[in-house]
Amino acid sequence: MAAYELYKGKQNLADVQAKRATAAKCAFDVEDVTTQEKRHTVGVEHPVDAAGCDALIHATDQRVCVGRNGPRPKLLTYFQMRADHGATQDSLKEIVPDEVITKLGLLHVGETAANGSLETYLRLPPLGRKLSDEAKAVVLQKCVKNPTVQFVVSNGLSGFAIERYAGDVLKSMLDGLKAAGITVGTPVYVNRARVGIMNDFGTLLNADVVVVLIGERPGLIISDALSIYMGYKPRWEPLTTDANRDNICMISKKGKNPIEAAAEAVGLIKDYLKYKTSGVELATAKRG
Amino acid sequence: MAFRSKLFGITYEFKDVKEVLAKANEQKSGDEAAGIAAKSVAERVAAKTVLADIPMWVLRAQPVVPYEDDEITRAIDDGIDPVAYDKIKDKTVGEMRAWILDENTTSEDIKAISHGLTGEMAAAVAKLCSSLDLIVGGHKMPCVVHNVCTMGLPGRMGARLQPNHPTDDVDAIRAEIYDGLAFCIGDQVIGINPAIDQVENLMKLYEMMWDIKEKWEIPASNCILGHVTTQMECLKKGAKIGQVFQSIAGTQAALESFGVEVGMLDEANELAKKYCYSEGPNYMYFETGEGTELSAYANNDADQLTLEARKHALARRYSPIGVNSVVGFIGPEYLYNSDEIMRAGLEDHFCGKLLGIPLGLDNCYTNHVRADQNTNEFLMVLDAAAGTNYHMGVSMGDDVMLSYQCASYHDTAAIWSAMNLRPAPEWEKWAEGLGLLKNGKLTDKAGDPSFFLKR
Repeated sequence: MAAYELYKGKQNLADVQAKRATAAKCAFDVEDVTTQEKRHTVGVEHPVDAAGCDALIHATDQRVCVGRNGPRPKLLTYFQMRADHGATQDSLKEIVPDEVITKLGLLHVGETAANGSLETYLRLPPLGRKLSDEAKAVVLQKCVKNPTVQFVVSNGLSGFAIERYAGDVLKSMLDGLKAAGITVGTPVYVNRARVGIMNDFGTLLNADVVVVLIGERPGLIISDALSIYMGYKPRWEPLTTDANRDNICMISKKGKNPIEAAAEAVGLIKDYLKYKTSGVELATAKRG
Repeated sequence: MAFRSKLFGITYEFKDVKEVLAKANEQKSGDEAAGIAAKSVAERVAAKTVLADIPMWVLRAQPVVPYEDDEITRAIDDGIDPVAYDKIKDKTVGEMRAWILDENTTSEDIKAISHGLTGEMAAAVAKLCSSLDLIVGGHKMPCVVHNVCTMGLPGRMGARLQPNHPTDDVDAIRAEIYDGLAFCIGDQVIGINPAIDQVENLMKLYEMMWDIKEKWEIPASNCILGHVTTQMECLKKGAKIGQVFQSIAGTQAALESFGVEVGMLDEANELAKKYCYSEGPNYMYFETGEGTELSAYANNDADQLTLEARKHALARRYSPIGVNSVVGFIGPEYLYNSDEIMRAGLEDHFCGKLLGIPLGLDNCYTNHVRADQNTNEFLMVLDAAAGTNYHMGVSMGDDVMLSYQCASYHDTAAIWSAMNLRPAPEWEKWAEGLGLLKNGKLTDKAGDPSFFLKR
């Protein structure tokens, strides 16, 4: 390295240091780009009708009147899209911490046949409908048998859904069922389950009703929605399918209220027990 | 029959044409879940080497669902042009690939044989193609069709304006149409995916779209992507309809799961010819996507790409105005990540064009697939290079009704700009007349939906 003398530069060192000191005093306090107000910003430069643009934005949830930089989106829109997609990815990857599961009053029974791998879970949905052998053993050993109602909670495709809304839904439903004199088994948590896991629990525990609280596939607008799926006597033999299930979906701050959803779900359970069926058949039975 | 090959001295055997086709397919999570994919990369390559030697007549004689079991197989095979078929029947799959890529083979030459091919043949060729093969080949197969605008001309790339809304709110959908029109989007079709598939609802939306068309004298064709039977009812009631839509599948059982039969599509096409306001001669619009059959438990152990090409061959029966693969919509259990989505997009385009139909692409992804907006942007460049007839578009690529992301209107304008492409000639003339487009580029007035509040 000694063959060349280091390049020394031509600038006055005091000037360079003074500029560096000035720059060090700068503060960049950037506003949140994801607020409703920012989302409703008219991005079009010099619109023909500014009030009209405003009205168009308020007419739809789609991202209209966002403006452009040449043929490309503006950074505000780009950042919002990246942030929203990022939220979906974080929600998808979220593993609910053990202390949250405990606080929810749930028994963590373990994994499905997908064995905790997100990749396997995404590639092979049927594996998420069956408990692993270890989890099965835990269920048989520790859960109350023949329950009227069995609760199963799982992150599914959105861990944030469980962390944010499962508590409210669970508490309201348990209160509602207690008031109606309906007994509940041992509420459990399973990592990365699919809705069809209800058949496994229905079969293993001989449950009358199985309620599955599960994180939905995250969307850009709502990335943390919770769903309640439920069915009367879900079993593998004879096979009960989606037709036997009811669903209350999009439970979220921006979607359906958790307490209202819980009340609807308790109402459905009462109907299940009265009509001894669920899903499409229940709707038919209720019409008389 | 024997299907055997060696690789590094190891012998690989396949029991029939269907297995060779499946194992020669590039990696797709859906084929793996179905248990029909190659068990190793070596086996995949071995299957490709066997496939290369199979002549076209064998692929015709051994479709992945037998003639006597499946009305789609029957409709495709009965529709084969015997003159075109005679020209290629003795060529092997490998020879077909070489012939397509040869500089001395012209677009006209390929067009002259396309109606002699079945879906299995087109898929087989695609399985021997690398990505650039698919682009070079696809580029040689322009498919020009006309409904209101002339679509598919070389140097042109169209777009479908997709103004969806979770409750079909008329004001919301109108706002979204203005947003697309402001970017000069919509020459392929203005097509709404309805949330409520009922005649009264569709009639209301058709009327709104017709009003916009009349007020701004747009060379626009419209479509509402309800079930084909709902649209047929609307046609009979006198709705102003430009194109008639249906999602289709590659096996009879999967098509039946959509509540659709070949005879129903035949009837829809006849009604469209009779009642659509558009000039034609192409009226039908189809959507497809790899994985449909497996998700309906109706794949008959055939691979996704072969079944996709069978949809294209079925679509050909109706001389459609547009067919697009909704390539990333179905989810990671069928196409796992960016690589699989991009590969499938190029394959679908190649197969459709080889079969002589006007392929477009809905480059898209859901949030549980290993992909992001870059996947869409990359694939748009790739299939624009391959000569796609059109792309889909929705405001900023975020479809709040179907909860997936496709291309933004910006993206289509960017492709026009970066790749020297233009919308359909009739549409370009209209947009230039309003001062929204000049020499294929957006003007200062473009991108402002409130422009359309003036009249």
